[in-house]
Amino acid sequence: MSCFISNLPNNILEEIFCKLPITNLIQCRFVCKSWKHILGSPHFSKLQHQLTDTVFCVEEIKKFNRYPSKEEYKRNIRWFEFKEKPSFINLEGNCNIVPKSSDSSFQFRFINSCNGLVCVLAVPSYHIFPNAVFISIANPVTGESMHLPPLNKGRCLNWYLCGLGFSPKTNQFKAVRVSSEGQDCQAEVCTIGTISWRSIEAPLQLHDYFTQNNHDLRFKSVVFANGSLHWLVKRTELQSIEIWVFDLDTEKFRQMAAPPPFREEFENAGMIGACTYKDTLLVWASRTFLEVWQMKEYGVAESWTKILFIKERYAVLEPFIFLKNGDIVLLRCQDLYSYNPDKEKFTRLTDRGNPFQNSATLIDGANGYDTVIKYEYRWFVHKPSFVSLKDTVAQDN
Amino acid sequence: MASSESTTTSTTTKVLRLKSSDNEIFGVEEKAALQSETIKSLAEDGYSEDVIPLFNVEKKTLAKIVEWLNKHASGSSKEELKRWDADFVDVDKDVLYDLLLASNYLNIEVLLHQLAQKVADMIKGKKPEEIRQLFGIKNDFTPEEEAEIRRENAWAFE
Repeated sequence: MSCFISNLPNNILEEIFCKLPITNLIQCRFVCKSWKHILGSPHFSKLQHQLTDTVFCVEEIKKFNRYPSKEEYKRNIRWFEFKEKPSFINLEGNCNIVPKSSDSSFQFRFINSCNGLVCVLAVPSYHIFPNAVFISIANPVTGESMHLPPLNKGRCLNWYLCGLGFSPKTNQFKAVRVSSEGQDCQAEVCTIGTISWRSIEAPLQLHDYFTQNNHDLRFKSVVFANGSLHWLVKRTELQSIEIWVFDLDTEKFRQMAAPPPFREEFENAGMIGACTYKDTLLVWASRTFLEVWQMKEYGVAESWTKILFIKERYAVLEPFIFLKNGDIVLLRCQDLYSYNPDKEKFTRLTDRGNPFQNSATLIDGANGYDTVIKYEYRWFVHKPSFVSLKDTVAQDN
Repeated sequence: MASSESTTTSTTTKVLRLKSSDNEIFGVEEKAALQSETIKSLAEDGYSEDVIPLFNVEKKTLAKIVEWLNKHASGSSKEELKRWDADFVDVDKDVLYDLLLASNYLNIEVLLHQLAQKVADMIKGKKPEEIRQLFGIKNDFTPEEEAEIRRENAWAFE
């Protein structure tokens, strides 16, 4: 029989591919050259990116503590798709958000996800070289990853003020980082594809941050939306929050109005960006409640609108994804739930495999030491895509 | 133009005549036929009184398409339509191929989506080798290229 599917015009094939979950598309790339070509094309990447739902990625880090001083790691990524039935997909093996060349003596902190790529911070496990912290960019779907050049000796990278964004004007991915040496601070940008960081103007608020020590940046907040990166900043002396913005087109920092004060004192807060709720920005805060605000019109302070309030006495809630059907995916008691705002009802999503189920396990060691296996979990939301890091780099060279 | 006159003045159902590439003529109620964007624009171009020639669709495929158009204009319940559609796309690969091309040419979005979904369902959950077998696709990667891809994406083969 002649091969009917290969004779179909590309637009029909794309139509078919768009209906497949990304894990199947990964398989499709290996069927033949023409399929690989279609799936890798910028046109399909764009098409598919618009249609793909955001997934919830969980990185499981298995630590074997064989000897008191030595740890070994095994990493695993699973992701949770919300397509038909929510289900976990195990990406066991070689799925790298971590550069292949890096050994297990690095720990990786997820920073943010932007247009199909993720940005992670590589931190040496033993803290012998505190300066050796560097930023790396990866596409977990294609398995590609790359390191960005590290800092000069003596400078310290700020773990919160960095991230990956996309400049709509130039169609380039750009990473931004802020570092300090004593009270001197420096902001830099690296266009993905080039090999060096460029110094840019550091605004006053950054200098304040490094000299006054009264800002709290430890929120889950590095998000990309509307061509800019955003950070949620709490001014500890004022008990107020601010949003710092970095515009990827102009390469300038600015400040943006935060939502009106939250009703109650919060413990945990964060932002949700473009990939999870239209192209608008959300800010949430939680303690014995969860409050979510949406900036209905980007950049307009008056447009902050409260879109959700949940009273929850016993658990700290952390929202991640707003689904198309209006439900909200959130973390509650170390487990994933979806919440229906109309019915005010929680539904547990992880009946078919809890991502966080493994806690510490103790195994008798053969050599006198007990082997302790510990699990650590990190999670992030990501919109999978076939955007190729290699092509991105090649384009700019 | 004649077509606009007839749609505004008469309430009796109008029948469009569609001609396949092998010259078979099918009469289809206007309401049903206009689900196809291509037929709609041809009808607007003044073909509606005449026979509408569909050069890219053969008789046997057009018969299936007409069947679909009629069913989807018949006011069946959602559940019934769903069952009916499932049966409709349950055909062998050659027919599926012809229907895909025809729905693409006739620009019937809903049908194209259903058919694409059917092919997607056939692919779903299969490994590259199984997909090649299913559709008779030749593996044109060199062993070196294949090894390279597998190394890069080992996790996808778990």
